[in-house]
Amino acid sequence: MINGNFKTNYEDEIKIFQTTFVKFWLVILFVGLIIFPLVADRYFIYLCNLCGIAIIGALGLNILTGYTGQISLGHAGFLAIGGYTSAILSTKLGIPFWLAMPLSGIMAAMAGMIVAIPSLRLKGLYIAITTFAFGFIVDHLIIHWESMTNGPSGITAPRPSLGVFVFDSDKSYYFIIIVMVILATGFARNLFRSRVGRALIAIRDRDIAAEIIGINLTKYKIQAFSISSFYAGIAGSLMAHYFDVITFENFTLMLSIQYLAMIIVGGVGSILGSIYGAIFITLLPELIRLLTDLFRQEYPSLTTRFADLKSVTFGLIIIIFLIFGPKGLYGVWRDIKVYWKNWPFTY
Amino acid sequence: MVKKVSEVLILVGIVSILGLLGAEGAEVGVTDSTIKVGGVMLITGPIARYGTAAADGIAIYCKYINEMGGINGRKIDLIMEDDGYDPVRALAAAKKLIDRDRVFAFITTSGTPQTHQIVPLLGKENIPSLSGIIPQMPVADPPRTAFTFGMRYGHQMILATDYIMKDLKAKSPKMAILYQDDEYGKEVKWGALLACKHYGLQMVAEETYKRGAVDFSSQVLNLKRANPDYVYLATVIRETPIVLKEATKLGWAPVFIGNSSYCDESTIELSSRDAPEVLKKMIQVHYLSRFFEENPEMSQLKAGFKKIRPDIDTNKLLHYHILGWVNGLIFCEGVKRAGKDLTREGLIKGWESMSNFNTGGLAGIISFGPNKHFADTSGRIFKADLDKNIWVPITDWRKPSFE
Repeated sequence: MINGNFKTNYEDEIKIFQTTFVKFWLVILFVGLIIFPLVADRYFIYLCNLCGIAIIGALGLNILTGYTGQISLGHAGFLAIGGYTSAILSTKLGIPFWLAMPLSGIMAAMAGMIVAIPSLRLKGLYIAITTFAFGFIVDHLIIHWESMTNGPSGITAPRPSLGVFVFDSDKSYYFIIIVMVILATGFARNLFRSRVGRALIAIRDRDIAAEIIGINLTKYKIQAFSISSFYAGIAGSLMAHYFDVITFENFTLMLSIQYLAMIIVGGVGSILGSIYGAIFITLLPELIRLLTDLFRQEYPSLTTRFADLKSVTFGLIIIIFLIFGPKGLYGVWRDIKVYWKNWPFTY
Repeated sequence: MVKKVSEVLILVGIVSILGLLGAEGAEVGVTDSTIKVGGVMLITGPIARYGTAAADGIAIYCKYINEMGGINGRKIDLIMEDDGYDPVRALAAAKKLIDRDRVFAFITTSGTPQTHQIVPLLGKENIPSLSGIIPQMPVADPPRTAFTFGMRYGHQMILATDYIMKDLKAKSPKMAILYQDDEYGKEVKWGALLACKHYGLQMVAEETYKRGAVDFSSQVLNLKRANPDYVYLATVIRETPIVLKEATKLGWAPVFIGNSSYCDESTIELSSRDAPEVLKKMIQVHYLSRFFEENPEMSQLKAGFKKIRPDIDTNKLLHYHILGWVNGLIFCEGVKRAGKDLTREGLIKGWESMSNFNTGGLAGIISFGPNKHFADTSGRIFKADLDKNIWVPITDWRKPSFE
């Protein structure tokens, strides 16, 4: 009996779907995702859509921060560029969503390349500050370039349509988001089976060593930034067409920090971690909302009095994860899996 | 045969769906004894102090009305959701209220970015909503379900300029403005520029700052250099005392013109020690009564607060507490006017019928109409009383001389 997932050659090692077990659960997941919108109410579908958008954004940030080691505090800026590009292209030029979305990704990727240039000379905290400043520049541009962005009043992007069918309900938009999440996850998973992905990991682990083994730092750092911002751009575009109006308030510094929290809580440098983290951070405030709701009849003022609990919980969870589970939810999940696999024998 | 069976099944399906629809009958969220009312409010986040106060005011009013026997025999079941000053979470809260709680109407739609997201959705669903936290509708083309009351910040600036030119009879004073770089700042600036144009005044300096800034030395220095007599101040709660202190530090004391977004006793508390001169000269505009004023509705309000939430000191009520109460008052008046057979359409008609509604002195006259879903009220000019730490009205209720 084989009790373990042993690999005997290199091809097995880099397979995307490693076991029949994984394949089986993925099929179950896929069927579940299709059935979900048919049974859930609009509130849950909305939350699920938020999770989907967050997953795409978090995957992007994890490629840059988790895999390449470049801390970014300007992720909201890239989301904003994506969102506004898509909204402007579709309202001012009448370009359909299906073209505006990839274009907004490309636009954000170009901005990412520009931000990457100083990063070639800067490291660690300094690159964090550069990206932080970038977020403010984008913010300023949105507020003051009124002829283009409509200033602080925000901009309304139309819902996507295909022929006569308009994706104007949460349910129909859900399917667009799910397809994008699957594409984004698939691409990211594949990226780290390729030379590019491994080069990025090498840069994170030790950039000097990476250079010695023949990795062109300039090229790969710029690539990491552009791929990451492309993801953010797509997420921003999905946001822009989903909400009735987007303003600069949708893309504050808090959003960048939330994305960082997602990858820290989920697992830095892990695809699955990005997904867990994005879902966890998006649903956490809603979970507390539903919990306080249970006691609403008995304690009506609970919402007002314990609303601050959310902020406290948010901070506490990040601290707890940093101290006790630095590998994030993904690490916790793996540890549990290993524990039960070997149970009752520790080793 | 198979085709027949499936046809029958489809027919059965359609009939049962129609049956379900028919069973609903009465309006969503309304039973014989209760009305389910939803609200979204900024209970946490950067201006939680105000959001919590407004949420309390609304909740206390609803409870008060329930204890008085409700409206047309129905009690209000209020569900207030927090949004943390995040438009995305505000939308989540609104969808939860609509789909899971199935509320009848929205009593409040939170701050500017949140209202931006919520109000179009409510329009699509034909759910009536009232909003008073921001004294204007931030959505350019609001749906017919959305109602707002208050005094636009822009109009407040016009009112202040009227006071300067007509009551103080200033001789072509020089004006300047310091504003926050967002929708709110833009609105104040709009009114200030309009007033300057109307009176032929010169705007000698315009300074901005980013939300959350804590250092105003360069802005105040630039303002001082232009040497204006009056400065329109589109700041919020924390920034105002900093600006006043900064001006004092530079030995400069122009007249600052404040507005209702921060006309709050904390401004006095935070700056009376370090900037008494500037504070004494400052004028504020507000469209609500203050807690120390005597009027019938105010005594009712205080009685309500004392009975329902004895932990809140009625001698330290924020104007957002009062705003919350007024918000509840206007909402319930609409419901009352909609009659025993309460529907959403009836509530809209109820509000529309409120012309010249008297709030008993808590605010100016509230006037809605069939094509007028924003009730712009009148306001008063206030000055600081440093001994009692309060803002005292120095004029009657008035409207801006032009709009």
